Amino acid sequence: MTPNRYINYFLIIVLITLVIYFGRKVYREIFPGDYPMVTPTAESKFIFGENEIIVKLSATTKNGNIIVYTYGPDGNFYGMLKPIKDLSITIRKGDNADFMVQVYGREIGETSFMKKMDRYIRKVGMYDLLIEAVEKKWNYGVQNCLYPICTRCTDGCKSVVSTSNLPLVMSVMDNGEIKPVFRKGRCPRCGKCIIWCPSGVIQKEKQPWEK
Amino acid sequence: MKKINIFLFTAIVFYLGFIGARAFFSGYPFSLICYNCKSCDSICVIGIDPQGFMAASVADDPDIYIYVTNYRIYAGEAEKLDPDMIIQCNDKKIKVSAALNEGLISRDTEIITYKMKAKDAAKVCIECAACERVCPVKLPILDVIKGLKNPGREKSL
Amino acid sequence: MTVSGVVALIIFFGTILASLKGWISQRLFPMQVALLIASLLIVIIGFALGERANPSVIITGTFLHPITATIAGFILAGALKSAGAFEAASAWIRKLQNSYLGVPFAVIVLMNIPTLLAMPCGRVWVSPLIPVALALSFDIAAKTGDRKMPVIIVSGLVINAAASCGPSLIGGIGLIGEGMGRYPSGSFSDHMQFAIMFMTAFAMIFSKYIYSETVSERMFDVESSEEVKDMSEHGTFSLLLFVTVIVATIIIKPAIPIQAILLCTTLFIMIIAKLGLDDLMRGIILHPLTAMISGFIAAGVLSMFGGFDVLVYLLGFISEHTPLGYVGVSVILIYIPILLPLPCGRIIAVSLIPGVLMFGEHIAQMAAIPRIQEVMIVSFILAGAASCGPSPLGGIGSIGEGRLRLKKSTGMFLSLSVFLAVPVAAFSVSAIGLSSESFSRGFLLEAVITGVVTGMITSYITTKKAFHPGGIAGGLVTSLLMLVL
Repeated sequence: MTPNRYINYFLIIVLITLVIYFGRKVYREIFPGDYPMVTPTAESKFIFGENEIIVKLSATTKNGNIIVYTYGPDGNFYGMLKPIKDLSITIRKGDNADFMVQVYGREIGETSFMKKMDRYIRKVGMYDLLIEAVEKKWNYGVQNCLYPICTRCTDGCKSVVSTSNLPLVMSVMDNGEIKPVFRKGRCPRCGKCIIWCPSGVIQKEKQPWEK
Repeated sequence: MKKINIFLFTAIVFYLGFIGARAFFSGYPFSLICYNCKSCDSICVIGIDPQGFMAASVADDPDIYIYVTNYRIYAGEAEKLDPDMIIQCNDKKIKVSAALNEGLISRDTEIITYKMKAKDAAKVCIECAACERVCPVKLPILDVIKGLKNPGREKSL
Repeated sequence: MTVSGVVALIIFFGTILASLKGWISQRLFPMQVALLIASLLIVIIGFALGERANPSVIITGTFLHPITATIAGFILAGALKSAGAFEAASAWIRKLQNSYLGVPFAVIVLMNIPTLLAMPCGRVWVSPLIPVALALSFDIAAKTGDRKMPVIIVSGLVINAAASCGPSLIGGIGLIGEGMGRYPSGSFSDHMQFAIMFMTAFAMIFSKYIYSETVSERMFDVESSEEVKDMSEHGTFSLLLFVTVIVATIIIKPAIPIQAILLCTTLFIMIIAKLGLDDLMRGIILHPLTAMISGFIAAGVLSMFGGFDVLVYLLGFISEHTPLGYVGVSVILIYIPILLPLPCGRIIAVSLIPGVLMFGEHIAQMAAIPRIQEVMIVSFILAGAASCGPSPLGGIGSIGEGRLRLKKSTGMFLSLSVFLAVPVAAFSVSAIGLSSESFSRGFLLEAVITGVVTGMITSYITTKKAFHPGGIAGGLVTSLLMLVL
């Protein structure tokens, strides 16, 4: 076998590897459409009882679940996914948080999930934390966006926009909710976040004549 | 004896073909590719084991039980969905109907699930697609979930 | 706990034991047939006891991934053999043997390839590597006069390949534990890889000093008298292509099933080396495939009638009502995969991981050491992944036994090597902890110790010199590469 043949064979292998590698990249898909809009969470009223907290909602959500959140003594965001029944949610003693998100001002850090299979790695009682949040005036409430459980909008955005500076970022609101925020100038209006959002929080921006 | 052995060996080979055929009839032949690695299981916050959806496709049976270990639901609704659904109650895994009959819970009690039918698990799935994102072979798991959710599609599964 | 579950468990264990002990004649009823008949018996008794059962559970209990990976591996091995890739590999290894690094370097690197480039199923590696291992071992045997060398090297390779699906980051069994236990992805990998290096060394020691059978004289004469063929152009290329594809798959981790990658590689080799379908068929061995499928069917039936639930219940009962307690039962639980060696560790892993997590948490709370749960799950997964090595139900070991034409089962000493290697993984996790970060001081130290110790063992077994530079260098290169890959 001559060295030239070796080189040729090697080049073929390199070529195949490169085709496989670049074949994985998602194509860029942009078309003009509507800007996305984030719908506000339903109004909520927390009624604190001795062993349970009842949250009355003004409306339900698309999938019948909503996130109840509160901030903890470490300044982080603790939340749990709760089912809605007759426009109300009940938080009992013994209900533990499903996840924790590190929060730095408006920015968010790492997320950790509290459960492994059917048991908790770390138990953070939501009832006690909510009572403490009221006393110490930390933010608490409900949010219709399922972040950090769901990150479909950012995933959709990443599949279209190849730069790291995305037009869609998750941000902390004044009331402590974590929701997507759009930068219109950078948004390609591809509609992916609207289609992919499973909770219906991101919708098509209504035009003046549609309002 | 030789004939019995030959028959059973042939049956084994046919069984393999039968599984392949079932997966094709379910409409989701890609489920045959699943590595059973459970990468998807670690990412689902409501504790669904998405590999179970793949198993349901391979078996062409939406009624097989799969893990859903962290979904909160009212006992009454769970019973309505499937009385045989397995729930977590006082550190025990018990059928929701049994827990209600024994008086461990009432229909208004919010419970956490443990195992439920694949078609019911698809209904409670929030479609965040985290499972698809972590799948090493990028299986379109959401397609199966949508198929199980849709009653028309369910018939073919 | 149901009566049918207890009956199912007894029949299942009974059948395996009877087949292993020879109470059921293998000539009359091969293992596959015995398992199918046992499954049928369980079903009949289950229905007679009025159990409602869903046959789909059997199908869902049949994991196709290891079956298809085995078929793809066999087909590729057939293509590589016909193209002359094994001759090329043997020639390269001969060159390596004659170099300064010598035999121990060649042996330790060859045996650890499956774990180094870990595939989702070890069977992918076994089929192509056994011919190379055989060539190498017959060569060494001819030089040193140690007729056990083929058994030693093939056993090391077999147990290494069997356990390699544990640390594989592309769909290995380790991911099941990480997934179900919610641990960081890839955090089990390094701990398991180093323990597998020890497992391989233990298998070598046991096959040399405990296992009594050697390869038959006839086979020895045939293999030794085979003329050394020249490296063919196609053979070299096929080998190069195969290794490149595997390395690229490990590094890039493409979202393509490994089976498809292997088949495409086979197709490419077929075109280059002008091979026909007959050449591919040469590599296929039906016995492990049929044994694996019948094992899956039996395990599915066991699961359908609650056999695994009974097992977990029994363990809970023993831990509460006997002096063994939770600690004793946890040790048994960790070793259940090798006590009940099924054709694929995935069956037992999926069925028993909830039980392991439960026991792990209980002991962690009792001892107030949270890391115990991590130690238990990694140990259990390693035992589970390696259990297909000693499994008589079409495990990877049976491929090795078949190729060496051995009459006596190698299961016992392969199980023993798994038994001793599991504490290595446990110690590693307890000392370093679980992390996806490979380049910590702890891991580097562990890599060096593992490399040196396993290198010395390999050197001693192959050359009777523990401090052979080739063995130590080979061990170090392998263990450090495991941190990188």
